[in-house]
Amino acid sequence: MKKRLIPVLQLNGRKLVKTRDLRDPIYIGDPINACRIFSEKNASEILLCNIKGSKDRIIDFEHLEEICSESFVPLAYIGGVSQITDFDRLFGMGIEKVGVDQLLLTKPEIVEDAVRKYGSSSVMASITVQKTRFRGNYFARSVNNVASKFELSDALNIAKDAGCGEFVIHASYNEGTYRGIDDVLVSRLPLWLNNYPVTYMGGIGSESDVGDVFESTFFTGVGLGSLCVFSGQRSGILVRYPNLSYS
Amino acid sequence: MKVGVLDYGIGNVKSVYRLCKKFSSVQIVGPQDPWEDYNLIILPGVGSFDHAVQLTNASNLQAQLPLHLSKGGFILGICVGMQVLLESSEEGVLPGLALVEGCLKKLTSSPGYPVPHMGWSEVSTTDFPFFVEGEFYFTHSYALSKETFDADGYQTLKSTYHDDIFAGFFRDNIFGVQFHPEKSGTNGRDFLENIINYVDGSAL
Repeated sequence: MKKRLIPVLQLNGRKLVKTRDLRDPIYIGDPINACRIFSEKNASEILLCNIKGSKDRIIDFEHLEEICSESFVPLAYIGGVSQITDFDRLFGMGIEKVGVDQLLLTKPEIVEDAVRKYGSSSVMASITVQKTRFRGNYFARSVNNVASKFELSDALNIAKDAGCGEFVIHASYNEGTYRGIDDVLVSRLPLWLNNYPVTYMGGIGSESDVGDVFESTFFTGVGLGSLCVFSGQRSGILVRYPNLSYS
Repeated sequence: MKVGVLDYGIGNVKSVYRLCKKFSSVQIVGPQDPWEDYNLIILPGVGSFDHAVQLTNASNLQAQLPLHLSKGGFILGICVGMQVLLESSEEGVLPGLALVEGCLKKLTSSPGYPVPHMGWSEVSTTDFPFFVEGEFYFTHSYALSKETFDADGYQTLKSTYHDDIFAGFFRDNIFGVQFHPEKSGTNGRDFLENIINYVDGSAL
């Protein structure tokens, strides 16, 4: 089976943006149009990330439905999901997979309910990873963009226990930096994660970075931000989908 | 030729509806709506087995679907919308609608083949009508058992995920697919359009 190359569309309100370390959003364009382009290019999947969702707990369902109407490839959504009715509305409009981040750390019982209702393959654990500056330890990030009390391994275990069927490892500190994959982070991931589909995102800035992800790790998907919206390093907006294939 | 996308409280109803609208007359229909005008009823699927079965039972689909078939109508089940047509699944404890013999078993993960099986896999066939081979999008942890796969009377679709898996079937006016045609890009669009054309050609 082919590895998944997943354009990550960051939503800031109704704008498509690209951030660096989840800060300093650069306006890219219209997410509806971008979604249509990636769908027409038969992207493996499209991941919509509502960058303010986790903090504000606001989901613009009306806008998401407009985006959904342009996609005939799988759509996943992350950001601000806080109650079971959010899952209901998102799946109903045409989202295939709903990602949970802060909800996992605060109310995992709601995630368990969602897994019971929609199945493990529809509920995705999104772990936004924070790397501590001095010791280089890895934690799940809280809504305020600082390390939470949960070490990475704790957060992953919570997600596994809740029944999530897929994991997104988001090296947020690398996001928008073009540094490539964080090998140390990968080395700290538990072995049991190999039994799940796992997507890595954060810092993938070139086609050779994509190769590194698939040739040296067990990841089955890679999230592409800058590579899909810039022609150069944070310069020249160009919505594109790399012509790559890995099995 | 009219297509009804069944809204029984589960599934990505609007995704299927949007795709069908590109090449057919289609409506979103409820379990209690009259189905006489519809040649093809589609059961979309995103959900767990027991939850989907509870909704089918609450909607009286165990009576509605056989009635539709008895009048010469066709059914297409997608993912869990296909699974509920079977007898049982290891995912749940409730019995399915049993319109098709067979059960679903949990996929077993192995190195390089995590579960859920998630992504695009090649689908092939030797006997499925009008099917054009290509890659389709899967996301599932349970699949039709080998016993069902080998049973007589099915025209089948096959895929491989470490082992052979059962990707779809056609028998007695019932189509079932484990993959998501509505999210399989141009291959999925062609597949759905071909089904609709086939049903249209079979309509009395």
